[in-house]
Amino acid sequence: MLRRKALRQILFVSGSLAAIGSSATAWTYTQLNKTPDWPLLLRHQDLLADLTELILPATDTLGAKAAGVPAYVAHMVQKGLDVKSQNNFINGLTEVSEYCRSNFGKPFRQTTHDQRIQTLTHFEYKARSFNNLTTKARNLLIGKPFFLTLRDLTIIGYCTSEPGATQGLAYDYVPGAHMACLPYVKGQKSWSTQ
Amino acid sequence: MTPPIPYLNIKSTPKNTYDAIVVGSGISGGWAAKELCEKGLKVLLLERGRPVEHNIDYKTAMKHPWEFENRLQLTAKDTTENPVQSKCYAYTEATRDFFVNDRENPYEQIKDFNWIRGYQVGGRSLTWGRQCYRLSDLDFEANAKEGIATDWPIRYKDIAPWYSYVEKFVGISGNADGLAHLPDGEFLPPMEMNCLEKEMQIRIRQAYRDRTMVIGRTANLSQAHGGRGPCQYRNLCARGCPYGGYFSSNSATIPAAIATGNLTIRPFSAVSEVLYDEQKQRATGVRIIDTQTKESTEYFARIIFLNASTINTAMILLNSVSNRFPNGLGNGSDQVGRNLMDHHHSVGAGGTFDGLTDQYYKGRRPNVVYFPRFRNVNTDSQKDYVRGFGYQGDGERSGWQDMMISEKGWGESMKEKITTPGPWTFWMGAWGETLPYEDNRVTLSPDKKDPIGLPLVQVNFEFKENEKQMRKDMKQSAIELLNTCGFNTINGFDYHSPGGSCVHEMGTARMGNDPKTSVLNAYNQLHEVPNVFVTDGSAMTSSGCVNPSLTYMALTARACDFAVSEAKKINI
Repeated sequence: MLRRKALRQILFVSGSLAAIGSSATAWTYTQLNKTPDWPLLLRHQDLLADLTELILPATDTLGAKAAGVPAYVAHMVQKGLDVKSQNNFINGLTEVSEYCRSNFGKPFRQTTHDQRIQTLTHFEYKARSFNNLTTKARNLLIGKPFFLTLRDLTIIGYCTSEPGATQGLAYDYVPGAHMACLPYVKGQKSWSTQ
Repeated sequence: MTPPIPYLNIKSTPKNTYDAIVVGSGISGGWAAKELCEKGLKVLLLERGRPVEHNIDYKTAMKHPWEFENRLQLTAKDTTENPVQSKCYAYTEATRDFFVNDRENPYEQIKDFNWIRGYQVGGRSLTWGRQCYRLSDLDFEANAKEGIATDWPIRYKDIAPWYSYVEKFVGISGNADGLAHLPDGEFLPPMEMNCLEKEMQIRIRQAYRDRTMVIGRTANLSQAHGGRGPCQYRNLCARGCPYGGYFSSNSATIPAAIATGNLTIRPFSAVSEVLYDEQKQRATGVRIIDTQTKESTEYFARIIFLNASTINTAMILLNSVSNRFPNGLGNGSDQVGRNLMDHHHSVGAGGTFDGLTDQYYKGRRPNVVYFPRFRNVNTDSQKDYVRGFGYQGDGERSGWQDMMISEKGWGESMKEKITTPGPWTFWMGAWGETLPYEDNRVTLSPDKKDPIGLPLVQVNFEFKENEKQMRKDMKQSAIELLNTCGFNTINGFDYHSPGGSCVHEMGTARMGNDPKTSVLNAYNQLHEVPNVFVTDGSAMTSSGCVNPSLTYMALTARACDFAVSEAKKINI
């Protein structure tokens, strides 16, 4: 039964790959499986930090940078991802740089807020345009897209950081009791742990 | 304390001789050690893993999320080095030291089978799900009524007092619901349902005559009990609880056994076989392999309890070969290793509830709500399958973990959304009975060994037609229930998890009346070797649909009482 399901999935995915067309060449796959360029990730650390702040900016509570999120994202890219997703991520950072140079004629660091929004919107669109693949099949075949890795790890990193969990959200270390029904007070943050 | 038993240790008292040996320190082995020690026996408790001392060895118990390197996310290393263990819901960065390493603990999967293990003192009682329900005669009579497998040699009345006995010590929070097929126990005060769950309970009562939803019965202490607890509602149980808020061998039975002065624990001791004396027609002891030195040692005792967990107990019996028992100790029936069962689960539905947005909660209840079995009970009769299932579920408001998936986008507005309580959602999953099949079995590799020299275990298991038919209903009925309760955006699911995923393995040395078709008698005694008892999941003649650990505990206490009375009568 499981075997049949797996076969069905391969069938389904093969069809979809054809639909992606020229963007997924044999060369792409070689590139996806190469050893990730870790020094490049390090060189992009300021860009990575700015991107996380764009995803979770400082508001009345701290933003991603102040919560130490960039270091967590870099750590988890190295520890938590398969090699394809790792390459997608590092390539993604390079592509963001290139996008800014070719569209705005300057590095990301010098772009305006609106230009940054335009940039990230572009990469979000790119990441979500594989709708004909199931998430699992996509991750298996071509890895998780750059934007989604960035977004997910930024959120996780923020919500599990001390500032994020205790100020951005409500942290109840040792509740001591269970109060099953309490009125919700408007403006109350949600619990940071389940 | 009861007077010492006569005629123990009569032949000699070399240092390797005890009154009783208990193999395995998990949830049933802990009970065997406690009961036998409290009855005055000198007990050797053998555990193949490392020592874990209550509280002292719960290294992650008080850590904040930000104190974990990976913030409790699994890494590529987890999933590649521990492909089986990391599939267990309880395996996290905080608990992985309580799971075996897959590379060091190989086994052969003839078909996909997730064998989740915890080799340490306390075994899987550290990481268990803690739900505790009694079987009833609906379960004990089912095999006989339907002509399936073999009849249980006991009925509810035989075990009911022993359920009470263990429940009083364990401490189980629950509500007396008065259901004949889900008998009430000796409960500590029940935990409370939240607003959504209470609303659902009312709507279910209005809509159905045959269905109900009750608060889960859990081995978490809703009030202090026996010097332990109470529960602090942190919901971090599987890390080990420094408050002693839930029952484990480490927090409860082993300390009680130690307090008698009669217990010796030997960790790093993997039992390779039970030794058998053909003249006396009794087991004389066990042989162990020290997992650190790889040295083999023999220990002797008059009473032996096997509580190594279902698959390993079968391994030990099958590997205990003698002239008298060429196919394994007590295996004249050829049933040892057969009839392996696991509950089938990971099927059900989830939905979103509009309303109650002015309600929230505080504290993390380590417990579910429970929908007792309603199929093939009373007047309900299914044409496609026998037996039934129960649902476990819980209602909560979406937190950031859910909102990061349900909400797209990024920036200020997304930050606001994911840090604010989202809509109420309810998740419900079914736990279904699996029938005993002779060809779902554990065997030993004829040639391959594991790293410490034990024969490699082979598991050949699949769910069959009855389970497959039941699953359709498990999903469909969950969708229907949520519809009836007024949910929106209801999604059914069926993840088709392979056997073992529920971590409810049982059945490999079943109880029965007839030595030709069963391994154990009504007191969990090997039909063919009266001084060997098996009281872990192996003993189960059928699986029922409720979480089984409470039954193992009750069977163990009952068997210990019997074993000691037989020893006093010099019958064993």
